[in-house]
Amino acid sequence: MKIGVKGVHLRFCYQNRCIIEHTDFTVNPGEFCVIVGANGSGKSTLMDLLCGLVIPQEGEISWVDEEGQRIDPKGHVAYVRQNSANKHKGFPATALEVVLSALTGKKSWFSHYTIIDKDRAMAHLKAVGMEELPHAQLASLSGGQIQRVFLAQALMSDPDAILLDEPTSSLDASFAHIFFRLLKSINQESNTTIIAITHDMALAREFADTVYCLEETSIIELDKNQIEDELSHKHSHPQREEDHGNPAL
Amino acid sequence: MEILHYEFMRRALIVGVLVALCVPVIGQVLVLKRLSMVSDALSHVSLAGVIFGLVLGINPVLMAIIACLFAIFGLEFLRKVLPEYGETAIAVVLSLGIGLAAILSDFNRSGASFASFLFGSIVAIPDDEFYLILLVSLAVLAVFLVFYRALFSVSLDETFAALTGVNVRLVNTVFMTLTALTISIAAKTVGALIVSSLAILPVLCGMRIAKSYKQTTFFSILFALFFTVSGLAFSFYFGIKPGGGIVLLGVATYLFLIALTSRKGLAK
Repeated sequence: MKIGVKGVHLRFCYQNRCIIEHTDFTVNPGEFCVIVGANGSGKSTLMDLLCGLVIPQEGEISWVDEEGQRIDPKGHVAYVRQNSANKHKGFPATALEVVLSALTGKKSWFSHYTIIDKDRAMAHLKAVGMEELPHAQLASLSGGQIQRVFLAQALMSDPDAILLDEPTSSLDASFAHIFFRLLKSINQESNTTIIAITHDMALAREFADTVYCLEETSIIELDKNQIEDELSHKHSHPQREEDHGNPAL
Repeated sequence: MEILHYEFMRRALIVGVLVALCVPVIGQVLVLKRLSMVSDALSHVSLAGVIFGLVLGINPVLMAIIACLFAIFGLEFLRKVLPEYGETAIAVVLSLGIGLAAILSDFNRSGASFASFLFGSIVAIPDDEFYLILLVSLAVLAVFLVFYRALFSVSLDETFAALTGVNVRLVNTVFMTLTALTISIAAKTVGALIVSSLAILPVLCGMRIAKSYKQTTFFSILFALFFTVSGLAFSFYFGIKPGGGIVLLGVATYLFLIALTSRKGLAK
């Protein structure tokens, strides 16, 4: 099933500042959506709203299927958190145990993981390029490898949509590109809706169908020209700083 | 073996083994949820419960269980009210426990010394407490086995677990109840000051050598059994407090494993 999400007239404020005010937001079923925004703009809060961890003070967020019928995101949406590598580095589990744990909500209390479950888990590890290390503990893996394991865990839950909160923040540029290419192939092959937060506008331009920018309590959809503007603006900064740093120039 | 000739030592060994099976499995989840100090707070509250039971002439283990159940749900409430300072809730509950225990100990006319509550009384357990500990520990183990996978998922990531259909609230409630039950029976036997060490040290030792989550559980139990049975044997042959022996052996083993695994790391 292809699913999307709609936010209508959203408002969410903390005690001292508002993150979103009277904003609409739509991700169509099967879309690859990237959300960008400056530090502190509220991208992670938006992700919490999409996960249902926090409830908007006004408006509502609803997950819908292709016919526009509302669905419960539980069992349909998977989530890859920010900084999985740092948070889970000390967790004494193997890659295979982490991936299999995605089935917990679907298994009865007394059942065990079957050989079919383990084969599926291995297939997902293979899909993310981790088939050589199913029995490696998280502590022995690099940040990029841990992030791949958690993507495999998300895939194991057989989701219709995957939410990713800055999945490449702890990865180097080349690996971030590989990771997004992997997400794109998942999106294209299984029509899984992808909603990813990132700082990297170049990745957004290359892979996303839709790019949203969270800015001054609004969620604005960026068109190609605006994306190019953002990229050229960002790329011009080092030059300007260099100019300022050397008065002789 | 001379140690097994005595009824009180046989009983102490049975209770010790049951406690050593229950405490580390709860401790493993506490460590992974970054809540190690909860066991310390609860053990102090259980101390107040034990003394309150003695003052009122009610089964002290039962009173410790009730006190710990109130404490852990109160602690969870405080953690939600003060999310930014969640760990301070542990300090509040710990303070409440030790304060109540100190005041109630003045009213205790049972003849049992305050030190016996702090360091446990595993070799002097009356019939009613023995059967209650037996019942509670077997129930804790059975429920733990049923919730094993769910506890893994919730410890790893509550949000992901909730989105994939795990009833996180139920799992957390069951876990809090199991923790309260386990800490209260362990505090009376190995001692309120020592129970948190028995919850944490075997897990830390297990994590040093285990290669998976399942192995961590297995080795944590093995270490806890080793510490408890050896501590009881030391107590019998050398006349030292069993709780102290159990914990010191745990610390020594952990330091040894750190040295051993660090050397291995350097060799690599």
